[in-house]
Amino acid sequence: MATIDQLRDLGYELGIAHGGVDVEQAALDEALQGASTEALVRQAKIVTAETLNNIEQFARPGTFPPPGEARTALANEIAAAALDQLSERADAKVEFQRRARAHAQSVPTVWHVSGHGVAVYVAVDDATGNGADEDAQQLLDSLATVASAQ
Amino acid sequence: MSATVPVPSKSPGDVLTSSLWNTYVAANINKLLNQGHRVLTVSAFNALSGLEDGDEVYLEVDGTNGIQWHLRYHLSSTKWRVLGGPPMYSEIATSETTTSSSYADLSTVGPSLVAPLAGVYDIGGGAAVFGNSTGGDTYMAAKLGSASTADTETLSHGGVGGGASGDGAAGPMARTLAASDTVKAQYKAASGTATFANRRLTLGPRRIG
Repeated sequence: MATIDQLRDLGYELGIAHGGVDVEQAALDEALQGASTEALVRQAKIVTAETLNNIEQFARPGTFPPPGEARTALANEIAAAALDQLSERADAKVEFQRRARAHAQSVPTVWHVSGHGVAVYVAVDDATGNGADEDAQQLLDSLATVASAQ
Repeated sequence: MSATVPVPSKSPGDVLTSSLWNTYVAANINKLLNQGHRVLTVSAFNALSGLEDGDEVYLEVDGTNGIQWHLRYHLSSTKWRVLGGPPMYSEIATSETTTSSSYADLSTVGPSLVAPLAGVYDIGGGAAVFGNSTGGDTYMAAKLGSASTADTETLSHGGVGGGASGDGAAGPMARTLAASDTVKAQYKAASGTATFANRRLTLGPRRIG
């Protein structure tokens, strides 16, 4: 029974069309990185600065605190609110990517195979590299046979 | 899918309260995090929740060839309507023959496609059908998932005998597929030997979900 890796060795070009676990794992890693304290603080600083600008523009004259203790207190209050909201979103994104990875793990990876005069899609069992079903295995076998004969 | 929250119009004189600046905080977070269109993998698409009517996504069905479908969610039907995007495409150029009078694979199986999601798809395709040595009809049809291939799924039909060429493309058909269903072409000749070359198959979304 031919495997997807054998097709690569036979000169086919392979690429994942959809269903790959690696891409979802990478997205999950990125989401976890985005949920780190360092990333959240960095984003909160940007949001706080922008928000202070917004407030300064629209606050009643004389009410926006000048640089000093009161301004710092306002900035801290805004930063805390920003951190709260950013953290909530980051956690939601991590959960979303966990669901996406779980889905990818539950379905076969679909590969695009091209070369030797063909361009086809085939569903592959990640664990074995074989076709995900009988039709897919027949396709892998025929592609291997055709390339071997050339 | 959260849209950017517009910053409310404020006038000088508004009182500086947390309820005021919280609006700015939310708007600035949206501005920071929601940049560009949202392109989802098939697995990320399946992870979506809390959808609202009119939500739009770009679904990447082929990350290798950059094929994306633009979809809009229709809440009352819980389906995704298709706004655009090219079909997935498969091709086998090699000329091959069959003498099978029931649907069968040629030496190179296919063309072959895999439905990324459950839905209704436009399936099209065809081939250069080089007549039949004994004048019998020749068929290229789509095998849908685990179902047996049937004449109702004909993609291309050659009816000209005596070795002459004939190609009657049946045109695209709308068919319901389950997620991960393989769609592949199979072939038969009523009698004699039939030859098929430049076999092509396309799969485009009509409705997802």
